[in-house]
Amino acid sequence: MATSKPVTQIDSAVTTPDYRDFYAAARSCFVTASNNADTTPALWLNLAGSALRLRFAGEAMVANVTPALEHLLIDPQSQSDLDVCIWDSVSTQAPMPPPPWGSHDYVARGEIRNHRGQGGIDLAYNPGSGRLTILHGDSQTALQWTQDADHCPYWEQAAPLRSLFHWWCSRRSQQLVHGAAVGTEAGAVLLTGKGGSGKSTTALGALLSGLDYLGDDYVLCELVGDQAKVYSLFNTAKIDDQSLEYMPEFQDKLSNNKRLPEEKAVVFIQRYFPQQMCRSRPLRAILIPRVTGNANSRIVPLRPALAYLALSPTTVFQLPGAREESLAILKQLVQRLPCYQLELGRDRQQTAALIKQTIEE
Amino acid sequence: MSAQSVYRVNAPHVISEVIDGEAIILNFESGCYYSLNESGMAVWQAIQDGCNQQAMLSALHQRYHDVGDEAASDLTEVLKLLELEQLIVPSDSLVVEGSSVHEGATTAYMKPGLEKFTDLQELLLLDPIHDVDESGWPRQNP
Repeated sequence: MATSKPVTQIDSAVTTPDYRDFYAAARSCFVTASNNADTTPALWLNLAGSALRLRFAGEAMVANVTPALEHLLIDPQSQSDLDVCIWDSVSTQAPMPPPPWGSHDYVARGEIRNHRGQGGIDLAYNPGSGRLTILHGDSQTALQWTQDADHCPYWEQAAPLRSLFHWWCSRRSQQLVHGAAVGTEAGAVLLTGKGGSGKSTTALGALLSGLDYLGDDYVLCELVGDQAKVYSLFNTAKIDDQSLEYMPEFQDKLSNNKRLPEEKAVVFIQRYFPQQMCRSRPLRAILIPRVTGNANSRIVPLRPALAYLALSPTTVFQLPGAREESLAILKQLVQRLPCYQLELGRDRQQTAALIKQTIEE
Repeated sequence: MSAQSVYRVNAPHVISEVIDGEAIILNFESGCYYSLNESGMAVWQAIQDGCNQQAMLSALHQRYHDVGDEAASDLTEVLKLLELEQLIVPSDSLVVEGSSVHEGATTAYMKPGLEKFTDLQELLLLDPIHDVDESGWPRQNP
């Protein structure tokens, strides 16, 4: 019998904080912040069929959150499915109560050690962006707080409220996916794979070649009966130096020109290609890009297990709380849709034509 | 490790899914992920079923009619590897004698193979929080 010691388990005997009390205290902080603020703007989003009302305490956080979501804005509704309260402490002079966990309790994916949805609350704190995000499902209310709105990393502005969107949509059997999506009137393809695999460059090349755009990094997928559907989340494109050289058309559209090269270049597609920015499409296929250096691209059928290997770890490793349920949805996706390796060539027009052909076949 | 050894999946750190005759395994502690080939997947499912090593071996022989004596050493080898990668841990659960994986083979027997991927580890790396401000929240780097 092996004598190796089992790895450390989550200690069920540890006394966990009452997260409902903390949620209530944080919610009170938002009320204080709103009372202190000169204005309390509200914006409405259509997130894959859910009406979300974003409520801001003051203006400071508006510019951090809204540019990536502009294409999802809708007129005010009579009722929201989810209220999202967004604020910072510096501009509103509303101090946040201290966290009921210690500095050693921050773990990967923004999760808090030993927090596993107690009290019906999803919760994450991202140390890199300084964003605390809480979803209180029972009251259909979410909170996003940060200490100082002036601290907003480019990747946070490119994909705001990502954890919240994951939790909210997973309750509706919709799965946030690490991937890009482009399409035509007939449908869309999901381009997925780890960072650097070419999905973002392929999506932007397709955009420049006239295809519709749903996202380059995170999109939402849903299975309804036998059909799969993909929804846009963020109208953002993040572009590295090499891709920018390959696609100079984006040079004059960068939102963070002054902060390059420390940051990856960010473009808000809705501002420059509004006709091609679309909210959803039927999903027709899954493509796993691979850069080849050849002149032309080609697609090769791929076993579902290999598509799953490219899709599921990179998705699940990034989303707080994502576990078996997410794996199960992703499995259904690769089993129901045709999967292909997209062997990327240098001719982006030809690649876009190939994608279009795959969708419309 | 003996014929009576029983293991369990190292939950909650490890989760898995079986697809297309393979098992895909994610380890949230290490950030590594793995693919097990078909015979490896059969072993993985037998572990999930609560089989001891003897029952796993029996299931492999029933599943693959072309497998010989090498199955015993192959099984020991893959169990060692899975334990080394902390995907399974010894268990003191009651032994289940049978496994659902004794049939359903779609290929001839191949030695159980575990492929390891480390390219996403950085997604789960976290800089430790050293500094909190007077309010108790992590101090933000400029």
